[in-house]
Amino acid sequence: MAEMREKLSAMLDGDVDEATARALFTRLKRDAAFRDEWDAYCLAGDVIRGGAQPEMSGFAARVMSRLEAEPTVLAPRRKEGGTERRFLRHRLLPVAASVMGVLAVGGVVMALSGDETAPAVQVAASPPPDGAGIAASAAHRAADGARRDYLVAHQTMAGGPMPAAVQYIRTISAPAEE
Amino acid sequence: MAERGLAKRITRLYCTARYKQNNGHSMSDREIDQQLVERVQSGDKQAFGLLVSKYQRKLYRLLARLVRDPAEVEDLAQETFIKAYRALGAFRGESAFYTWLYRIGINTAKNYLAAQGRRMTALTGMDAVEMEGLESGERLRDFDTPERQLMTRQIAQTVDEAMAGLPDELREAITLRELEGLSYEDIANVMDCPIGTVRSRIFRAREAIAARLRPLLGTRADERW
Repeated sequence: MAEMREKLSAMLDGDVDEATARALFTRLKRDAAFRDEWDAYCLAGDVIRGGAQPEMSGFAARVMSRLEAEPTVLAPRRKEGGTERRFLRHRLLPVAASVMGVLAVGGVVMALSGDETAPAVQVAASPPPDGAGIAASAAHRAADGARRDYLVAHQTMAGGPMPAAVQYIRTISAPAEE
Repeated sequence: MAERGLAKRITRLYCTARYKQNNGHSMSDREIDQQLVERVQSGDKQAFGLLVSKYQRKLYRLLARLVRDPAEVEDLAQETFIKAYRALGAFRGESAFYTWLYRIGINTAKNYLAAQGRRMTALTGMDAVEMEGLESGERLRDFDTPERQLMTRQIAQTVDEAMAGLPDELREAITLRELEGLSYEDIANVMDCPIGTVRSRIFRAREAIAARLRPLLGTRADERW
């Protein structure tokens, strides 16, 4: 009993978890003496905080007596009624979104890494803008091969969310910088 | 000396961690009220009695400032709680329960005064917190009935005496909690003791005060709810 009263005191200070609060509410519902404790603790707190308090003995009993004539309040059952929707909103939708995200990223990565030579061939096959560019392009291609190896090795070591895609993006864009 | 202080501090931190681990997520005062509201909303009328018991004096003091007719204040307080009960199905917890109750109280007082052909004072523009700051026990004595004034004085005196008779550590703990509004963790830091000790001290202080109050409180069968 003393342990329950200590928990009741802690609940007044907002220092119990939900399960303990539920147990205390259940006890308060069926035990009038326990409710007297609640009344006394509330009154003590009110007096300490605010000095003299209006004398209210029997007030709660009078209100509760009037409430007997009132129909029971039944709010739309947010918890029970909305359980499935809440489960869908809070659990399933984030999981579905995550799966879609992984599929989308995976799709992009697969598409890019599925034909590794294609972008390089495209760059090599694209015609140079003029005749002078041909010699420069041949020299550039030799240097570009070494640079490309370096970039690929760098991207592999550096990692990242889309290593296969990123390395080709950088390789293709390198000649355009000149 | 410094080592002993450090060891004590480490012990306290350890105890705090263990306390939090054992108690899980603590609920705030507002969350406790919301739990009670949800119980009422699911058909538990008794849970509403706990809210009445918790806020009856606060509401009475509010209405007493607005209406100033002691014969009417209790009726209006009852009316406010009944209206709140009827409207509770629509309460979704967007505001704190007392803030919501406060608005119902103000409207109930307004309607009463309008029916009497009187106007409300400018105080109604204040919010619940500002109004609370204005309420004082001294003021209540000005317009309450003699019987109520006597009981009011007795209750205040009993609590004062009970507080004075408490051991220092209990008095300090309950004062830091009720007057300063500190959390258990903050009190543990101020008093340099584990949270579990704070909780126990506050409980023992409340028990001692409640024991002195009990003979004054209406616990007759017809006054129980």
